[in-house]
Amino acid sequence: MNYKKLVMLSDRVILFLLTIITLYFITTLIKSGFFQNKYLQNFSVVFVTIVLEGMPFIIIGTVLSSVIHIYLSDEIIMSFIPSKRFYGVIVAAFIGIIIPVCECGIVSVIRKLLEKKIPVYIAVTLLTAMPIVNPIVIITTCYAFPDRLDIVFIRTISGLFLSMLIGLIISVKYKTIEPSHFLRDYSVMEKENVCSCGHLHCQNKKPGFLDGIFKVIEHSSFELYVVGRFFIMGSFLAAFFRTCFHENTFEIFSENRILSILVMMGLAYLLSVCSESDAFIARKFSGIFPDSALMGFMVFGPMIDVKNTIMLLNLFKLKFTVFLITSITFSCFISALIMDYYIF
Amino acid sequence: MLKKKMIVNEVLWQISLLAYAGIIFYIIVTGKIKILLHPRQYILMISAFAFLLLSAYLQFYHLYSGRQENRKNKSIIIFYLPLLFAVIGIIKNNDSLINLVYKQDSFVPPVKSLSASEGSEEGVLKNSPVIITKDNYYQIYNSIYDNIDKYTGRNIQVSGYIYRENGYENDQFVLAQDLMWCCAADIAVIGFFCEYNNASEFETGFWYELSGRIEKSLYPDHDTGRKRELPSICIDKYRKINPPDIPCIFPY
Repeated sequence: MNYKKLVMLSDRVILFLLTIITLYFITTLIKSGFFQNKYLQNFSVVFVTIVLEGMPFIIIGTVLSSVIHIYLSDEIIMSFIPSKRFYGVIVAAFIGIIIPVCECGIVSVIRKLLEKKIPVYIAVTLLTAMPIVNPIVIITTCYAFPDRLDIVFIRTISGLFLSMLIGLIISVKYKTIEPSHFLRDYSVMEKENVCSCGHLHCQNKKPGFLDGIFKVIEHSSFELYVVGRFFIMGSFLAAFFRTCFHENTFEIFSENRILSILVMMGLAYLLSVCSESDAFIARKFSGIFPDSALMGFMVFGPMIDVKNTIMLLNLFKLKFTVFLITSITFSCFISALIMDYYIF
Repeated sequence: MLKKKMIVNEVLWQISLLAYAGIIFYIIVTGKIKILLHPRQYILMISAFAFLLLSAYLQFYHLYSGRQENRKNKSIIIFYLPLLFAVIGIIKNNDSLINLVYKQDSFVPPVKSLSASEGSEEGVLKNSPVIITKDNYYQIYNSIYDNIDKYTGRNIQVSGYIYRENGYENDQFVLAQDLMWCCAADIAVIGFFCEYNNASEFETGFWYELSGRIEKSLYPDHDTGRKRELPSICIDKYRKINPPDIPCIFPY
């Protein structure tokens, strides 16, 4: 007993000392003008801007997932999904065309759909298709390449095709495995009629209009908490890469076609540019890198990037996430190679 | 003990919701939003502001109930990280608005696009002076770099700020504009090389309106160092102007 008390006391003393040291450290940094450092300020602007830019899209995703949670029962959702896997991935890929959710918001949507027991291959198809084939992305790609509608067309078609392919790969690999093998919080999701935010489940009685709006916002607030942490961590890494690596540094690889595809895919992963503006960044490289490398950038980036990886690690187990990223990377690389040989 | 921790978390979450709403309010009121985000984001930011305020209000119902059972109390600190950086980079930054923007690239003249159409000169009448405004800047900029021969010898009127890099000749500078694709994190410097005997009269970072003639000149390539034919402006007249309200141009 005395020993336990001693441990608790020492913990508190250590916490107190750490707080004092941290406060002293921050005060010293402020006095020394550290926060006026140009590089730190630049990093801060990039980091905060990435967070602010992505925040509305995260909120759209959380609101959509809350609407699904509150208004759509498991049965309704399952009734939309064909029983055959092949048709299932086709439906899932085409749903993206009508729903404007980009890669930041999609994670909370598929998290909710997985809670509603949709098969994981459908979730993966949605995850990879929606950020590429959604209407806003198609329009901004048209703006970026007004004289190259072939690029817009190929980007959308390859996004659809690859997401179906990746969905099918996942469906083969995880056909008979229980969701608890690849989902991190499956035990929480599994609880009947208890939402992850601790609410009583709202499926049994539909709320009224105003009550429904409040419930959606309340639930979205919780969802924002769940995915927001990982979005911020991902944005921090993306800001770090954006301030460390200048895009022009990689132009030396543009001579080799295979290397240029790999470099552009790597850039897309590290820079984590929003899928709604990545076509403009790709446009900058037009004429420097081959079109196949630009397609690698514009198809791979929306499917997976640093921000998304960290958010997915919160949803899926490590082994599944690694398998998913590997499948996406190989599929995109091979499709870019095929485009290089046969289309461009 | 456990319940108390829950409540602390709820309060911290409410404060962070309010703080994010505060940051959005701050950048809108001070006008910093104009150089941080593309105009198409404004309506989204206002919607996000409303959502955050409403969420913070609804959070009052959960302050004593400890709603979020599965919250790990320490991870909420992560939400305060961008707020700290917002204070360092945006609120406490004493620089003028234009210097606050982080520029991702140095000035790299565009490579002629493979699909460059021969006569894409929308908005510019043939053989008349090329007058570049904020609205047509990006379009004409691309057109000039794609069709240098067509534009050589024509008069031009354009504004921008003076940009210099190490390695430029004494009589060289770039009349630049900041191009924003999506947000301040991806701003790029674009512009036209200018040559003038008394180039030192032009102060770096200040805004000017120039009129002159488009010429072809050889400039060393940014990466390879090899000389490349690029359009440049031979200056006839110039005047200093005030920086525009929105010191960026948008491609769409």
